Amino acid sequence: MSFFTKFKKKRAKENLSATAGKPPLSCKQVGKDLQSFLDGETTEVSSDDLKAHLEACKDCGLEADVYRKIKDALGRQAEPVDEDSLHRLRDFGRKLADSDEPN
Amino acid sequence: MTTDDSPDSQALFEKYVVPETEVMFRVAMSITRNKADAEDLVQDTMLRAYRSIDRFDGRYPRAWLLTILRNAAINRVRRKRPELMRDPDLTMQRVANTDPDTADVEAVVIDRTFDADVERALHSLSDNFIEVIEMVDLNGLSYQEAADAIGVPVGTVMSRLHRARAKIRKHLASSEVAKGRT
Repeated sequence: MSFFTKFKKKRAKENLSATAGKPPLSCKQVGKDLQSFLDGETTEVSSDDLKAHLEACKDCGLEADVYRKIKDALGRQAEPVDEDSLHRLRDFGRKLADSDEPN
Repeated sequence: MTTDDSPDSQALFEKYVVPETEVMFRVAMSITRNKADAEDLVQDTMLRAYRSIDRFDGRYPRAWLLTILRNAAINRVRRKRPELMRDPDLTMQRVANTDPDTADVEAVVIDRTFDADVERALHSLSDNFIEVIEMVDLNGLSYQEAADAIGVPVGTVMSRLHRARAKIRKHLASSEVAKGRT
């Protein structure tokens, strides 16, 4: 059996085990990358593997829920932007863009 | 992207700088805690960006602008007294005074209680932790953009942010235990 065939069989077995409730990643690996994953940032392990683990592992799934809720609650702390200020600043920017002298 | 042609500079400014006005203002508000100072800071940033637009390579305009904004903020702090006044009581009052929605009062109450707990936990953190939470979770910046705005490596942003949220989580867990005991 070639190395490539062995690799494919191993990979298929891992995927199968994930769907059978035995995630291919360890909880420690998931814990390390969980917050970056929830932030949509680059993670060391693949996001598909992370998703599979979070679906299969109850503890990590709950952990992800808690961090999602915290992140959402933090997002709601943001004050609405003052529209008058924003209007003045955009106006300032456009006038600057239309001006002739860069200094 | 190097040209001395003025109209091109104007077009570049319109293309790269003006669309980032809101992000710059949000970040400036986080830094100054004051609307007038935040407006001044963004105007200062725009002027600096305008003067150096010919040297900008066109990649990552937001990161470029946030770096300019940070430097402008540092200069301003050197010129006048620091404006980093945080007033958790005011924001707590804002949460407490929010009127309930009629659709699902129970869910709103639970949400509001949770949000108030999270806010309390947030303000129990040190300024370094609050800063990254504000940049990423409140202002919606990426890790790299937050790193540019604060002036630290991206790994530092990631580490502080994750630790900050873990502390909030711990704070919430302990407050839940406390509530359960009463």
